Amino acid sequence: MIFTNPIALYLLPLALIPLFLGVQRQEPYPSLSGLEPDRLSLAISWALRIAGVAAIAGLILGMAGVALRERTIERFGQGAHIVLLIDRSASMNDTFAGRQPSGAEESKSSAAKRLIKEFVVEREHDRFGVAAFSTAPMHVVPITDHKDIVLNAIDAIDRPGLAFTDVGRGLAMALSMIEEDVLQGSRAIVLVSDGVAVVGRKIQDALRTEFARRPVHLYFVYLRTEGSNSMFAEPAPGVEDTPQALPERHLNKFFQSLRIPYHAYEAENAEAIKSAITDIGKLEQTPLVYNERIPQYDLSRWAYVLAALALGLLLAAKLCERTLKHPGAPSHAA
Amino acid sequence: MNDEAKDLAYSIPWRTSGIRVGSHKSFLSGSGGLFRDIVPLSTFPDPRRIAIRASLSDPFERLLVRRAEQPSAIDIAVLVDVSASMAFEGKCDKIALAADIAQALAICTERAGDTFALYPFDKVLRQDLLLRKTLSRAAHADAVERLRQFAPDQSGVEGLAEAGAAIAGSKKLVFLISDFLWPQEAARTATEVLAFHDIVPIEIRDSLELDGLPDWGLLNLRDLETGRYRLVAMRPTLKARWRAQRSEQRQRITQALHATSRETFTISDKIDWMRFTSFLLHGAA
Repeated sequence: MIFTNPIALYLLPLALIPLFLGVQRQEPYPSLSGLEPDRLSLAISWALRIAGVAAIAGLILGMAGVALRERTIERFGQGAHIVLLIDRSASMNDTFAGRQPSGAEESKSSAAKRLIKEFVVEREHDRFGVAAFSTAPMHVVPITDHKDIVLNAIDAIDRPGLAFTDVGRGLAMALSMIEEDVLQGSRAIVLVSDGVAVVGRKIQDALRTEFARRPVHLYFVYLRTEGSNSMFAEPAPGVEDTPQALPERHLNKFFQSLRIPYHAYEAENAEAIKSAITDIGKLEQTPLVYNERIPQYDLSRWAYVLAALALGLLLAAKLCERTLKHPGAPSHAA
Repeated sequence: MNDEAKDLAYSIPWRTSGIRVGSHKSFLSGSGGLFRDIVPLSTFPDPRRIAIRASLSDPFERLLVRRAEQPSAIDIAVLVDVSASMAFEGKCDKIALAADIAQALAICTERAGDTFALYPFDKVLRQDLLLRKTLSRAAHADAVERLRQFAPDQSGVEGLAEAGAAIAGSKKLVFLISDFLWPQEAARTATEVLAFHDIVPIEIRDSLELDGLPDWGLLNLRDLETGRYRLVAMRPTLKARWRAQRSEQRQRITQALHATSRETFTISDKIDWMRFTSFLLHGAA
């Protein structure tokens, strides 16, 4: 219970006045001794006193702006804390065919954006963080339950990006975001990318240590451009099987070697992305404790309603009031 | 105060032992007026009233004398309850009615040669309004006027005992004017302290107290005696209940009073002087 204008509370003792002073007009009466009080009158008399107290207290509380404090309550649900790690390299702005989008065509980033947003909206209990990477990783939104911020952040990912794709440092940033998040629950990183560069040996070692330290589910959604290499395919004979030649394949192999729950999806079009995301949604259904914020609730209108009702009751009583004197009653004629 | 009031008269059904000549039956005998008896001249040595026929026929040959009634004056005391409940002004002003009665009685005493005393009381005997017995017409008028101007402010009727002490002595005709909204003990005290006197209780009632109450509605009543408030949701059933309770209370009070007093004369809103006179003269209205 908080008050926006607490100085008005100094007036609150005024609410006790109706207990001592009647609101009805007094009629002198010779003697009430011998006339027993009846229950109905007693009840009405107390009801009117209480109504008087309620009216004054209601008005004062209304003036003081009584409100319920903002609260957070713990709830249980199913879901996960998910960091969306999204590739912001320039190639994401191309279509799946590897061209600049024209007409009704959709770029990879906007398809990803649309589908990820749907995913974020559907998963009510999940908490999301957003990180992007291209030449350098970008911390966009920490893990939060403010869906609006997350959706706006996702909206921003189809801005034209930079040239390179540094997935290693991106992952390191995603892991650090997960480390900052203290709440309980299953954690996952969804990596959305359309082609990666080589992850350096040093960074590989660092990531290996980091992943070993905390259990994180990793989902790799590979937006494959037409004609580029598949990450699952065995290299054709005569092609060098090196990270420099087939970076996706080797990244996949690196992830597989991490000994964490890992799923890779290769998507050539929007539908494939959608099925990958649906699949992720199905997998991330662990029990989750999450906090729900209940905003401050203004009670002053109810205080005014209470005061109005009490005043109505008092007004009704006032209208029912009768006087002993008849108008123009003659004084004694003697 | 109207002319009818000046025709008020009273009589007493007892003999006074007052020695001042007046207009009421007494134990005294004198030489004029109504014949009472024949006594020997030695008992009543007034040779002007020798009863010749009786003396001649007296077997003991005494000289007999006629003796007549000697009317005497009596003392009138008017005890007025000026407690707070008498301040109620509904269809009548109770204090004004009491002052009217006192004034009529004062005029009446002046005519009959009786003394008049006024003892207003509430919690105490009101020394500021009190008039001890006197024949002075100016003092009577002054005391009645003071009573008329008085606005009751104190509650309680315990001063009645003091008033009773003040009028103790020879038997007096005592008018006890009140609304008799008393506790029963007060009525019992009244009968005890006034038992020796001829008490005429006069009850002043205001019809607004009970019959004049509205049938429906909220009334915030302030008890003039105790100063307490009571909110009353008046309705016909409650009104009937109040009427029953009030009449029961009145019955208890009059029962206590009637142990020693005359019958209570009740005035509702307005004094019917003819009825009042008839009551005072014949004991019944």
